[in-house]
Amino acid sequence: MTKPTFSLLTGDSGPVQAGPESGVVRIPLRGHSTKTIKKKEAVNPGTLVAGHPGPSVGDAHSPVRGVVTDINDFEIVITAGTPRPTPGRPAEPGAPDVEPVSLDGLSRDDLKKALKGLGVSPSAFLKAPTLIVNGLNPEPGTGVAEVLLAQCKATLEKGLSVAQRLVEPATVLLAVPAGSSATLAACTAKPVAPVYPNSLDPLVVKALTGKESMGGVTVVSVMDLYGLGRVAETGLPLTETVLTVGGKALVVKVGTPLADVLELAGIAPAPGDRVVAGGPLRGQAVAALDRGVAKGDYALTVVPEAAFPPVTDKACINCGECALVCPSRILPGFVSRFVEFKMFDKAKDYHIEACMECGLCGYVCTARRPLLQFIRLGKQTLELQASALTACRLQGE
Amino acid sequence: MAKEATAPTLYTVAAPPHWHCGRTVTGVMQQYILALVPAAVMAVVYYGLPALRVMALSCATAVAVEALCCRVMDRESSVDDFHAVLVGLLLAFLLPAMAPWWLVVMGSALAIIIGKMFFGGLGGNPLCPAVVGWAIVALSWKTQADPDAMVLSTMLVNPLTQLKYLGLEAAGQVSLTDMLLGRQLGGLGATQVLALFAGGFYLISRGLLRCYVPLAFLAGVLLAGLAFSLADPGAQPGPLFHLFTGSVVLAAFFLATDPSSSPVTRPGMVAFGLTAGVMTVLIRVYGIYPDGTPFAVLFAALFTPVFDLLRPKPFGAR
Repeated sequence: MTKPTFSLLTGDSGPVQAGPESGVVRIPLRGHSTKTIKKKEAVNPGTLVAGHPGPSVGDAHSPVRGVVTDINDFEIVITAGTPRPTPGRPAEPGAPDVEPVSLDGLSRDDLKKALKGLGVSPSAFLKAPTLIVNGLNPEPGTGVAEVLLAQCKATLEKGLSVAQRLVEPATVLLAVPAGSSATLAACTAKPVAPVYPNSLDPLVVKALTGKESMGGVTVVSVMDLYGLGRVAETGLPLTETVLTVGGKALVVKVGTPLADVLELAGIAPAPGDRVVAGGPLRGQAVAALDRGVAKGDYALTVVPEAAFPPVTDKACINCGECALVCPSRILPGFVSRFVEFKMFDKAKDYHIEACMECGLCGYVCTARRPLLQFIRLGKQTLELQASALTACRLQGE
Repeated sequence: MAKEATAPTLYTVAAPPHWHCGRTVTGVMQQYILALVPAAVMAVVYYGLPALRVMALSCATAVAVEALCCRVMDRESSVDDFHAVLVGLLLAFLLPAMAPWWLVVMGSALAIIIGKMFFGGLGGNPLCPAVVGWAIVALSWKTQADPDAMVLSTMLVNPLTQLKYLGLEAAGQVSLTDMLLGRQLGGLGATQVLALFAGGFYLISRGLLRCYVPLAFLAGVLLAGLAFSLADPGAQPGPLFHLFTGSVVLAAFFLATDPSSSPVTRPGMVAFGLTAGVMTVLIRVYGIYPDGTPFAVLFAALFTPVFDLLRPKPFGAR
């Protein structure tokens, strides 16, 4: 077993390549409840398929030409490759499928509305005096940020100019791995030691501003900036994401089944392996490979079953390794035990909310406990309790 | 549909992180036992087969008693994590090589039952199990647990009892080199100072033992020893004498560092180690026991919840 490395430098990932063309795409829905299409309806690239009721979450669009074959609460399935349907639109070869939207000259509010309609979540670009572009690779072995900064500078700069109109910052900083010469126009590049967990937003803010607080700072990842840049360049809805898989950077259409992406990368996961949407420390393990790539996925990682000891339900042995490694300086061992025994108030006293969810506590845990899972459970329970309390108070008034 | 005809491939779904450092309880315990092997070999060199007898009996009893406890408590057996073996071995290290068999069985069984399983097993114990077992038998059967009284067929002397009852001059007949090499009377493994140092540094170099508690413990002993020897040079030995006698080195690397009874934060670990180290010398100077080390470890462990309050402010807190 090789010891994993926490360096955030991945070296050369090669040119950004196009992702696979899939016969079926499954567009994941995250609360997109306003469905704008019906089953068996024909869609074009860029057709709005589901809107999000909130003003700050981007809508979902079809990345391909095809026919809707299934709609449920979690995904919209589109079978691609059928002849081009023409409801109310003349079939001219080469004509755009949807009208491009120009972002130029829009006021801030109109820009937000336009971006939402183009599938970009404006919530990532809150107004703040400082804008920090997080140019570090998000996780070890995930070279997507490095590749984008090196190869897609024009798109990123286009995205940055739109982001600046939304954030309206006085200073714009770019966090780059120490030793890297990456720059963006209108940014001051600042080096950060390229070792995980330094890529987490709170730690990037601390490295650049010296403050342990996100107040007055908006942090944007280069992946988000790239998406914004693509929308600004084309005027078309965002239906793709750039992700690292097997050391390569691919531009993958949203909804592409993970199986197709893995096949293109030449990776064949064996039964019992973990297929992770995201990086090895924060990503979400998936149960089936027909799940579609979601907007914002930045990596696809396969972890072999035999590589690491399995998670157990054993008791904490109080060795303290988690407390020594925690970048939030909390005691994950204590907090996880409080959550395990439903002592949520105690978990709050031990600052469970300070957790950045880097996953390092679970990485070092000698007893192989699911520490991050316990912390997330505790946080969620406390949030539910707080919102229930607020509801009660409102009723009392 | 065709999909249902073929059985779906099952992938492991688990919470992040999906990587792990590879350190497991079983692996750590095995390494700890490996680190104690040099001292065990030295013990057999000095005391012969009786030492081997005590170690084997203690380990076997600990494993058997833990297996029995798990059965009585109706839970999955935990003996396969090697912790019981480690407890048995550490207890044997504190006992005289000629200890009667029933004392070894008693100590080992009580270490597991009262020291560990009463509190739910590994991780729940508030005190180091081996020290608990030793303390019970040492207080209950003073003579049989005392190396000075039991090991008569030897030329070795115990510098601590010499110091306690005959004064500094008598204690000086054992040189520091002799102490380092284990040529002194005491617990069969606890006195193998050099071998224990080697084991401790092996664990630290492998990253299996954090250096905070051992170094703070040794620093506490040295500082307190230095203070007393400066205050009363005619009656008190130098700090190195305290370091190399009794079970100080065993306690610093293997007893005080018992994970569940020691603090988890850096300042907590340092305070814990210093407390136990200073307490060791205090018991030796003012107490009735020639070697107070195990009691000092128990004393410091009682304050572990207090030491755990010495924790840094969380990220972003004012």
